Amino acid sequence: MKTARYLIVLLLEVVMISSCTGFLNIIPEDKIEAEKLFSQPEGYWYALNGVYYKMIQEELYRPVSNSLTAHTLENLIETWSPSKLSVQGKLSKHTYKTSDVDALLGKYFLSYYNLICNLNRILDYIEAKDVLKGNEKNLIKGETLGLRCFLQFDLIRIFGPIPTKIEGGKKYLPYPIKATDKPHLYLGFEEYMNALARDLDEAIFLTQNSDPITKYSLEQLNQPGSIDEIKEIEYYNRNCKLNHYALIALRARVALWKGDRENARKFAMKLIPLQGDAIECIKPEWKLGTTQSLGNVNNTERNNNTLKEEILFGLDLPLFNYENHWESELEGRIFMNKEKVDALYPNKEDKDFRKLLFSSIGNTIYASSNKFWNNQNLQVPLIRLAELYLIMAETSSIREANIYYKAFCESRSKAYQKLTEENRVDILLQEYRKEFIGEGQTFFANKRCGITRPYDCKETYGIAQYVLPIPTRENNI
Amino acid sequence: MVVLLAVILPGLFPMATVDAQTPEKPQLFVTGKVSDSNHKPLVGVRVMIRGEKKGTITNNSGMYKLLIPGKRKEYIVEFKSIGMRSLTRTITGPTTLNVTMIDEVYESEEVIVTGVFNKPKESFTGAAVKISKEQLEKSSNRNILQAISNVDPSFVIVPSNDYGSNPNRLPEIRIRGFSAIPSTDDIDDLKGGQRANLVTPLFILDGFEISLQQMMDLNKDEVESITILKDASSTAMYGSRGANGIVVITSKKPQKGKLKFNYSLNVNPEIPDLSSYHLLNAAEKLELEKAVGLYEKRGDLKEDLILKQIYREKKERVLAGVNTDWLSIPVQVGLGSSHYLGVNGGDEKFRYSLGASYNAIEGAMKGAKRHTLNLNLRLLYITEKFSFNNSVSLSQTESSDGNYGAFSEYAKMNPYYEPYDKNGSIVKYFETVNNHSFAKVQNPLYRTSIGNFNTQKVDNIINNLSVTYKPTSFLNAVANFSFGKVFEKSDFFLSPKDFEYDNTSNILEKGLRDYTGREGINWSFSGTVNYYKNWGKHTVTAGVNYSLYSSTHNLWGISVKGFTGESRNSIYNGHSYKDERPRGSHSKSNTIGVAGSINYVYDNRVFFDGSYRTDGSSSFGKDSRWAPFWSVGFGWNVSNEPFMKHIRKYVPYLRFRYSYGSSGSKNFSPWESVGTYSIETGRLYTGNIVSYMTALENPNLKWQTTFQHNGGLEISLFDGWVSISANAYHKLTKDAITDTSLRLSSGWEHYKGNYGDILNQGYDIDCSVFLYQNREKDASFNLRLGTSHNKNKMVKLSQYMKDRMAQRMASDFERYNLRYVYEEGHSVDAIFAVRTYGIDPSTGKVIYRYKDDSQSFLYDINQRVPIGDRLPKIDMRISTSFNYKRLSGYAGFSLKLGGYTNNDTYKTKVENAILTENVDHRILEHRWRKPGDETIFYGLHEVNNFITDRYIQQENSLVCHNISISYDCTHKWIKKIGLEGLYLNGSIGNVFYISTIKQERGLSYPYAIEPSFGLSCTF
Repeated sequence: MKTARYLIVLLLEVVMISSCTGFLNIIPEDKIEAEKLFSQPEGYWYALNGVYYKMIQEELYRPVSNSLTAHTLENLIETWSPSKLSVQGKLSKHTYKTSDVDALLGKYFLSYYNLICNLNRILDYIEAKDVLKGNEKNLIKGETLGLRCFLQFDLIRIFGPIPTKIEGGKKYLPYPIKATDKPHLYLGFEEYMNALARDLDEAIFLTQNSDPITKYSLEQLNQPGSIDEIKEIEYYNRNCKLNHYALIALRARVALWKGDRENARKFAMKLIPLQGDAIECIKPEWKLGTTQSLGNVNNTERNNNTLKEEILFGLDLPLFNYENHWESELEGRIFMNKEKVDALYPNKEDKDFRKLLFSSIGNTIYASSNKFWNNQNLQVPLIRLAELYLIMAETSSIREANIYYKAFCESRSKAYQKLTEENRVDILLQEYRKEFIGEGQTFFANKRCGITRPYDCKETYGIAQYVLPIPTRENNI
Repeated sequence: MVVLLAVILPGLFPMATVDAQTPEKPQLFVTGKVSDSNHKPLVGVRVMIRGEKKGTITNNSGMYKLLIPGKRKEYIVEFKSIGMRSLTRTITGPTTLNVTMIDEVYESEEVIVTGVFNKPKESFTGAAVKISKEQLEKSSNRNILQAISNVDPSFVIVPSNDYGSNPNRLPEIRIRGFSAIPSTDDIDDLKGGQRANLVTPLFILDGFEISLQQMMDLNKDEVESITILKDASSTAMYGSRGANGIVVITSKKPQKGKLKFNYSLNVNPEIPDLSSYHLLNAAEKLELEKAVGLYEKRGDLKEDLILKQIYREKKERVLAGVNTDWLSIPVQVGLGSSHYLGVNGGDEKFRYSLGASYNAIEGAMKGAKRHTLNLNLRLLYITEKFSFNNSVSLSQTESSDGNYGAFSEYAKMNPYYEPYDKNGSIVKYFETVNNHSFAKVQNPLYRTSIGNFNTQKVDNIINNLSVTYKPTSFLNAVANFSFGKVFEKSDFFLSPKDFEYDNTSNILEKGLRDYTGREGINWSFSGTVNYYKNWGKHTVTAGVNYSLYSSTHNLWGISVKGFTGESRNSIYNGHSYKDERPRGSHSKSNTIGVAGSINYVYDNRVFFDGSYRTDGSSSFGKDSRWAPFWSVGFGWNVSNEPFMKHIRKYVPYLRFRYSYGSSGSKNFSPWESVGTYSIETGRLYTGNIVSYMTALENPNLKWQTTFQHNGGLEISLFDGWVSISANAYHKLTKDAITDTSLRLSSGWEHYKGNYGDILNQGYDIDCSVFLYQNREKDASFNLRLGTSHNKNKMVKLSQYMKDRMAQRMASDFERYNLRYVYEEGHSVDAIFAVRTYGIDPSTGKVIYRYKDDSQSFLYDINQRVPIGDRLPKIDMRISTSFNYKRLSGYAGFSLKLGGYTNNDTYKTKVENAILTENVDHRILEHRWRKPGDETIFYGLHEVNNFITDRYIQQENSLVCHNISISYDCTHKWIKKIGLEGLYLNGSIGNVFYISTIKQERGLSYPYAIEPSFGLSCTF
């Protein structure tokens, strides 16, 4: 009897010890261990969608005050009229050395690298675990890699050098390829851009057969469940994801930034090839928007101010409170002097529909862009077809360039002015200005060309203006 | 430590006399008597000589006679009996040997109870203090935590002027200083957030960890003794839980004997102590208001007339005798009481005890209460080799803060306000004039009439089972299984009529009912094998222990808004959730520990102590899941050395000891070392579930380790009339867990890392003197003096934390609010402020003193320096007790020297007084009024809330924490009426408080004087 009791106690101990490893692996209910998340295919989708979610929720691509693309990048090129003492005012004067600017830039910098870390964690697990198979693996891996390139490209465009003024030995930015707490290596411009191009090429290769966008129509893809072969909703809404074609467009952007006009043209051409004198998009549902497609600009039910038919890649933003960030001249809102609108469109007879995307703020001297006007299905554009037309117009022979530019002008209902070798960069940069209000691309286009006095700007631009400083918190640890 | 000595010394010497028996004349037998601790003869005790097969047993009168075989130099005589602790005695030849055997279930007085391995006190190298139940009872008539602190000054309860004598407040407790770095969320918090919890010591009740709250609600009648373990050699065996010090509580064990009842009753009134408040009366206040020009407006004749009219109306009321004593409105003499009924009985083999207690605390604030019901049942079954001990206890605590709100609300009220109108109903608002415009002042009493409530209820169940197996006298094995479950519920209702909703018109937004439930389940298993061996002059004690510990917490809560009336307050009467959805959290942590301990003694003169433990915890990083803790110690009983023989009369006891070792503490969430993702309901991207990283994990994250040197000595002088025990320590916490900066390009600003060192150095001295002692007359009078000192220093802080501090410096908030400052080289309790040169007599403005001693009228936060430490430099306990036959008395005092405090009364009621509220009387005399006035306070029209040293004062205080007297009425007539014993006692707690600082004490809850009257009887 006594021995039996003693044995029970002993047995209990043995059982406890043998299950030791399990005993020490504890995760709270409201969280999920990475190891567990990535043990099934859904987990990879959750994590990838998490990055898109954060991109649109946080202040990088969400069109809100103090956000990077809609507010800061536009102020860097003097689009809006911020109050002088605000952080945005300092940005528009290019005084970057103040603590509030440093803090804001630090926030962007951190957000970018946080998203990159999230993507790297997915990539780490794709390699470490053999959970994903075949096309699913190719698609997720390609898209994750591509999205990392998208973010890393924006980083070098913001914090990197003017592409025409590279300092040879200088290391500009880290290019993390692993989620880790160890410091990442800084790369020079050449190395960075080469790595970017290489990774992007791989992403394009991986998605060419695996992305459903290459097989199904956008209409089908925007109705989850409508395709018999594809049950999982993860494969739908491809234009809200960085799809195969968006990757090609991104590749064209990257090539152009490197000064590789040939490749920029090559990749853009893949999407909008020239058939004789007609331009046809590889995906016919994508076409340049017109006055008609705009819908009713001031009707929240029917407007299409972001021109959905042009969006190759845009972030889904179903619930957005436009009024809190635009539509008022209050401090912190995004608005501009009416004179600026008049300067862009001096001719009252100008039929250019982009003029309609401004609205006066009451009886004040201010106006605001209503591009992101409340819309139940707002999609914030990150890559639009219009940009590809402008790339073609910039990189093609002058004859072809005019074909693309003419088509572009027609779609915008504006008078077409023939491009020549001498004037085309100037004219195209004006187009960037008008076209990408609130999308941040104007700053990049001017920085890429190293323009000293960008169109409609008062300041003089150089390295000190175009190259944003690395936030102090990056090195102060 | 004196406590320990006080116990050890009398206990030691009677035994020594037994040992010192010398053979009178040659005999063939050893004879003697065996008795128990009550001097009653023990029957049937087996007596034998080690190595011999034959023995004998004691007869009916406890006598024995044993033949001594052969001729040896030494014989070891063994005494054994079921339920009694076995004894061995060494003799050299035939002699008379009388022994006293002690009941097995009682802890031996010679043992330090550590909760894992019990260590012989004689050869213990660490620093521990044992507090007996008598000492606990004397030193405080209320809370057990306060009682411990009143005995041992190194058990520090950090004072909080805000909470006063609030019975529901969990105090901040430290043993040997603060040794953690708060999280980033907490450093910005005005009150330090969770900071206090980081260093709360570990409470172990009969081998099982209990929470601070369970400790506070523990019934003192159930406690046998409390041991506080402080140094590495006593805490290393608790591994990753030990660094903050450990409080080991041993509960009473059932005693054998016939069925016995024990009943005690205490009446515990709480009398509010408002003596520190010196507010203006109605007439004074109104005159002050007039003097500062509240009732005039130059240049606007119309307004001026209205204001003057208001003044006249108020004046009339004051003249009519209106002078409301607002302070007396929310307070009461709380009439609390406690009852305890114990039933106990059984024989050598089977014993039981049942205890029931009910403790009703009624606070000095109306409605503040804490009612605790405790039930416990203990069963003990002993066989020759086994003993089974099971105890189950249930407790329920119901508490409420009442609905009177903060006491400070009442202190603010102008005495010319009348809380009730002519019809006797409560006025909701008073009208006042502020900056020449009208304003409304809320009547805090209104809140009591609208149905608000805030209650908490905690249910606890703990079961402890322990099985001891003792195959031989030198080996025993103990298995312990404990299970505890706690369910905590807090319930809160804010009436739709509350002030809060005055500006809310939407009925669906008014009213709030909030319900939070927390469930905690803990269990632990531990198995210990102890070995004891003695040969010649060598004694070895060794043990191994294996333990598992698991703790799970679930929390959930709902907040519902939209109530139509105070009576329809059930949660289902609400309209909608206040937030989007219910809230909740879950946490779980498991720990495995393997420990070993060895103790070697040579000839009772020198001894060595070593222990080792390795802990594995689910909270730690994958790459450092197991961590070792260890300790070594040496000691020297100088008084046992031959060369001390001649002076033994003067120095009967002298012992030196030293220990060094490590112990750990983990104060972070279990997931911070593992990569986790969050999945939150309602977050979707294009209809897809999203998930993202919650933090960057640190796979190398490990427990912070505290390395501690401890040197100590015990000395007893003049035949034991004076005994002193002293310890000095150097406690370095390395790899303190803190938010560590990362490069932004890693994607994360910070993560939890082991980066930070904190040093605590200090000493404690305990001295006990018998001023008078006469055993025959049964009279004694003694004095005890305990002193402790601790110095804290932040040695290393992460860059991230430094940046956070720098960010704070830039904020406006920092200039006006005194927050905890963390800076390398300074104490974590240092008060930082800008120094001043006082008030400029010509302008009445403050002159600031910059770091370089230059003068300026401009305040600059960057010029702030540490002024002093919040905690006293020297913390002393002075107590005296006497005993004369049946009467005994005690008086205990605390003397605190050299701590700094922010005199809130100066700041908010005198210098920056809001003149529309009631203020301190010093405002009338000490403020600057005209050029040439040399005052300590600036002009009446100035407002300057900056943090300067002007309000920071050094505080030296003397508190009389308890005076008690008790009388044993066990006369013959008592027995005639069927009682076995009757005891009466009376005491008074928080008798007085004398301080060098004049400030209001007990801001949101007043302090209380705590008398108590009790009687207890056994039958």
